Amino acid sequence: MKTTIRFIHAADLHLDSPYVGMQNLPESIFKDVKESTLLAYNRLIELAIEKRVDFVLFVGDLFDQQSTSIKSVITLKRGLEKLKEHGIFAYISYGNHDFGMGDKVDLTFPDNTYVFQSEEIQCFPYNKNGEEVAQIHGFSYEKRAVKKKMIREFNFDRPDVYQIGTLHGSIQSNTDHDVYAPFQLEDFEKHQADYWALGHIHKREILSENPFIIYPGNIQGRHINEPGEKGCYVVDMTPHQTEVEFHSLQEIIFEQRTINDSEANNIEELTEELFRIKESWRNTSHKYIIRLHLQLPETFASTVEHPQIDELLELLNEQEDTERDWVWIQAIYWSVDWNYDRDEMKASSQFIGEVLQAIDDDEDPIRHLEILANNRVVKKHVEPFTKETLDEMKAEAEQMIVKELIKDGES
Amino acid sequence: MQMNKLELVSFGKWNRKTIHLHKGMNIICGPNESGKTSVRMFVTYILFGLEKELRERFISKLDGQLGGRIHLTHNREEWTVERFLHRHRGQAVLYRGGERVTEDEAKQFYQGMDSNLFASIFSFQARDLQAIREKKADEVGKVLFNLGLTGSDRIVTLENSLDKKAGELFKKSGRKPLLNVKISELKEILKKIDEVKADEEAHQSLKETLRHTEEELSTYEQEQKTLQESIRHHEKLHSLKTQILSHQRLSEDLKNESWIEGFPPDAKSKYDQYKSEELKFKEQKNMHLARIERLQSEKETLQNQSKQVEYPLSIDSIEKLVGESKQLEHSLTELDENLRKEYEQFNRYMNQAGLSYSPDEVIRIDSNDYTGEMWKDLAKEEEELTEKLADQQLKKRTYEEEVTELEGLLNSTTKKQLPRDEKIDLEQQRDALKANQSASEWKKQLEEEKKKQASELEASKQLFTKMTWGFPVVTGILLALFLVFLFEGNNSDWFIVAVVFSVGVVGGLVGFNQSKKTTTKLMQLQEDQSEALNQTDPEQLKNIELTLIEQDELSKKANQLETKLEYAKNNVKELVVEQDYLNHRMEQLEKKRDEEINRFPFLSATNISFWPSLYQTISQAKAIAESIKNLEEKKREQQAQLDENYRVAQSILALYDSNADERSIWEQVQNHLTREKDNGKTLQRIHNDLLELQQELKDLHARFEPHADEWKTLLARTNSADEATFVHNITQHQEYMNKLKKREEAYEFVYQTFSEQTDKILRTDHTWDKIEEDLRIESMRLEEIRDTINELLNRRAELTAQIKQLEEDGELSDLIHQKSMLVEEIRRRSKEWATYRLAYSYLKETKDRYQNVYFPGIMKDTSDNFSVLTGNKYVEVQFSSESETINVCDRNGEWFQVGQLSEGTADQLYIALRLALSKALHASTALPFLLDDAFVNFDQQRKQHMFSLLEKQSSEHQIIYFTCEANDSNDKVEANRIELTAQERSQNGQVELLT
Repeated sequence: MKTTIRFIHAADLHLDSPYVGMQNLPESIFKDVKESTLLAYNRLIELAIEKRVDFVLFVGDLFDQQSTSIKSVITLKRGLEKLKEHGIFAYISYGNHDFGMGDKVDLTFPDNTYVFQSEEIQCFPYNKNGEEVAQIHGFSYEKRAVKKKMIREFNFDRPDVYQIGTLHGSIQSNTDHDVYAPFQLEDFEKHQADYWALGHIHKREILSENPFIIYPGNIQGRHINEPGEKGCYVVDMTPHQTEVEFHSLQEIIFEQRTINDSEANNIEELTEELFRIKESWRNTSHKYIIRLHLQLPETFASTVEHPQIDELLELLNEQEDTERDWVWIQAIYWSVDWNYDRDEMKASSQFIGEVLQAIDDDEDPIRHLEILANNRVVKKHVEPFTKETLDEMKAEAEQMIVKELIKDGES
Repeated sequence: MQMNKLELVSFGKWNRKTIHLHKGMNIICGPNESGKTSVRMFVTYILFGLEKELRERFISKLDGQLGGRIHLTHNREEWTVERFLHRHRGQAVLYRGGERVTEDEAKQFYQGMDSNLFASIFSFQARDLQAIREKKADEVGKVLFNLGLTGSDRIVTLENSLDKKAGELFKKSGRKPLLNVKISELKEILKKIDEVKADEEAHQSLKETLRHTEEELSTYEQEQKTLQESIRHHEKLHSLKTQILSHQRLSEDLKNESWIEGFPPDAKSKYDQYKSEELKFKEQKNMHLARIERLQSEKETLQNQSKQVEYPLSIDSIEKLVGESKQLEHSLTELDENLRKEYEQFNRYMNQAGLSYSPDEVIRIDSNDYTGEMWKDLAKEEEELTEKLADQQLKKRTYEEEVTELEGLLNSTTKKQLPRDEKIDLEQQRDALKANQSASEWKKQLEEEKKKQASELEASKQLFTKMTWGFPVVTGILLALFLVFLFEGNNSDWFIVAVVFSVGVVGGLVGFNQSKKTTTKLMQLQEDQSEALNQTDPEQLKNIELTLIEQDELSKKANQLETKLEYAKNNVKELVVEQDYLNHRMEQLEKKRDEEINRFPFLSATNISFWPSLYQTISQAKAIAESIKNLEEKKREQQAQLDENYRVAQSILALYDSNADERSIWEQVQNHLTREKDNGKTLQRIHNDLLELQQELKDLHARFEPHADEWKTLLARTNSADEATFVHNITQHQEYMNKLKKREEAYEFVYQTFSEQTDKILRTDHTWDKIEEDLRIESMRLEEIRDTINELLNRRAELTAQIKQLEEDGELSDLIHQKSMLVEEIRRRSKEWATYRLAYSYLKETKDRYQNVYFPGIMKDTSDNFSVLTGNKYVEVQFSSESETINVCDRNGEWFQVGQLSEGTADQLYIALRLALSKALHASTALPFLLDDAFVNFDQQRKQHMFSLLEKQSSEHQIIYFTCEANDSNDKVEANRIELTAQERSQNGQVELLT
């Protein structure tokens, strides 16, 4: 008869890795942002202790290669030491972001911690009260990509104990994610595992419930596309059933919010309205980073200028660094209904028509931007413009021209 | 397109006005304020609409309307464009051949036309030239160039602004633009990150070094420990060197003293014990002997001192005697005291009795109880008699005084009484007066009666007055009644009337009589009254009566006084008889008194009244005198006994060498007795003590005997012939034992340090020099190691600190986060920059294409136009795409930049360009060309050139020229002329008022 076990399933800690898409943060907020992943990790440790779990699974990407600081390593180790003090074990595998970390930093952990060392599937027994009750299977990345279908390499042959598979990877598709130990849902059916602890995808998702195949997501969102609550799963396994419960750990929540019922007729009213709305969002349990989408009344929207919005953004954020539960508006997007009959304009032989034609004909807009794109520093450290971004910019450029050139009225 | 008719229904000052237009050139003339601009704006409004602000300026003040129609020919079809502010939401409505067209068809109609194009190309006014002139010289070319491209300078404005905005964000080799700044910041951060990363990577190696250092440290610490132990051992040995050597030497010594092993080890102690016993014995013996001696001598002394044998009586008897004597002495003293008190009492009585008798004399007085009684009676009687006599005397005097007083009173009363005649007189007077008084009273009554009668009389008189006239009336009535009755014939009634009538007559008569009587009485009364008026007054009567009463009382009083006086005189007589009796008794009493005085002469000195108390005193004194007599007898007896005892005491005292002693003889004797008794007791005790001491002495000898025996045995055991040999042997043995002890001490000392190793250490023959040398070398080595360890400890601390700093610093973490933020900012700014840059690029690109596609043709036309306008002064116009300007060439082949041209020439160039442009665009848009006083500043020649050019153009392109100059330079031009005069005069029937 199997005894019951309880463990935490977490992945993608990305300890101390920086946020993407943040700028001009005031000191205090910047500090919160910097510490958020570490804070979330500390909460995880506290949760493990509070819930008296048997062990914790860290399924890959504990760090980021590029931004591993001693601080992150020390924090990780301290947490593991703490688990050890409470007799909790830890099982770690490295993913595509933290492979080969051992070369850079000292990754000797306390003896309660087991690390999957290579791309070969390895199995650690978990003993409770001197009796083996579970086996944890897994592997670690040794290079940036693992193209092999690792799922096929697992071998669960001990039905007398709980069999848990850990896998840092993603569903096979035709996108570039395929380089991360790809699998298909059917692959799991061939195995007798009682639980599949996945990692790599930052969005929380339960792929299956029998057995549970779960992406816990990361423990702290780091950009606007990692919105909502982030955390880990506490898993209770009995011989007859498995129960999972999500626990949020994040310090800061990313969110995109849309305001489509604005009644503002001018920038002052809008400012007032946004201040009010922002206050209503303030929450004692979380800090927020919000991307705001405004749908303004048409008459007003057409008069709004970029600098005004920039100013508004600055104004909205101005006092936030004094707040404990701050709400930081990361950006404001607003739709401009700039209506003109593009086709008609283009068909005329006028200059504007020619301009529109030129824009349409431009397949390679980057050629106009080479002086910046070729800057050595920019090239190396700033992501190049994607096609979407370029299209967006083309549209905006077109608007700038059209708006200026077809201004009505007598000259 | 050709406009045929403008129907200004309501527009500005225009109302229901129609303007007919021709193909080709139309010149609309009118002075300022005649409404030329309104017409031009009307065209814009109908075709494209106007912005609200502009539009409102033209709302008709007559009807508040705005709108009208333009009839035109377009693509060889007749069109009407209609627009009214309040119809179709102000949108234009198009009719083709009178039919309203669909929206798509309308769209088709407007193909290639818009207000902007109309404004920038097909509408031209003097202000446009002015605007050109305001540009800087080097800009003019650029503006013209751009105008040439697009007909508008907005492009160049936009282009400049885009370029500027992009430039503010980033320049290829700039320093100040925002992105450049941020990029260099990023560079800095990257540099720092590399540095810090290197530091953090050193963390590993630092930890490794730390590990090595700790290992090394532990090795050295081990060695240090070993050395320290060795040193400690050597030091211990060295410090115990003396002890070890001593032990070894003593062990050697002791080997040679084997004989001593047989020597009883307790010999010394036994000897010492014996010696101490012996000493103790001797001491005790001597002590006993001394005490016996002392007691013997003490006994002799005491025996010598005792005189008891010579005492006349036994000690007990003498002691009794002494006690008795002391008692006697005390008794005598008490007796004396009693006697003294009795005498005092006795004397007090004597004094009291006023006698000076001794006690014996008092005893001899022959008085007894009878005597006492007698004296008491005498005294009592005497007192009684004296008292009575005094009382009698007092009463007598009182009565005599009373008689005297009464006699006085009687005399005075008698004197006050009137003589008898006088009194009778007065009585007569009084009677007379009394008679008078009663007469006056009667008169008073009479008066009252009179008054009463008078009133009665008055009443009667009145009645009669009434009756004097009533009577005849009543009588008449009655008579009449009588007669009536009579005649009627009723008998009884007649009787009644007769009676009544009779009564009435009688009544009247009675009344009259009464009245007459009263009058008579009254008269009488009046007469009485007048008689009484002459009588005396009552006062006199009263006085006389009072005097008479007084006299009566006086006589009564005098009678009483006489009676009292009689009584008082009788009393005095009785008293005199009684007094005589009392005096007789007094004489008898005095006789008895004298008899007693004869018997007791001392009584003569005492008043008889005190005799009873005197008797009392004498009786008491007699009793005390008896007591005194008894006391004195007792005293004599006791004194005799005391004297006897004294003699015996004297004989005893004589036995001792008595010194003068203040104490009484009895105490001295008692003292001697006590001492003798004590001596006896002491002697007895000494005797007992002596016996005891002798017994103890015997015991001492017996107890010492075994010790002496033992000593003899000890001598034999130690083979000692005598005590001296024994003592020598003992000393030898002692020395041996001392050495043994010292050796043990040395062992103990070494053992404390080395414990179980001790035996080994002591057995070993140590080379002390080598040990010292080793110790020196080891100490040196230890010093070295200590230094090394310190060094290692320092290094370890340093490393730990470094590692800790790295671990806690978090600098890399900070930098990475900062970098991320900076990258984001650069990304955003890049995007912003890229947008401007793209807009700029597209504008530029289009312009380039324009240059290549349209510009050559336009330049050709411009050249032609410019040539015409300048009268062939300039023959060619070219553009320079590099400097974005236009250059012109004169007929001499010389090239000028626009900036070098005169203002007027530049204007001409501008017009040439506009005309060329309108021509170029006419093909597709075909809007008429409207010129609003465009050439006001041109001189005549230029205007002529201008018009010839326009004329030429008008063959292909409808031109509407507004001017305020009615007939100047354009009069030669073939044109449809429309005058907008104040009178709205119709010219050639072209302008008419709508009705």
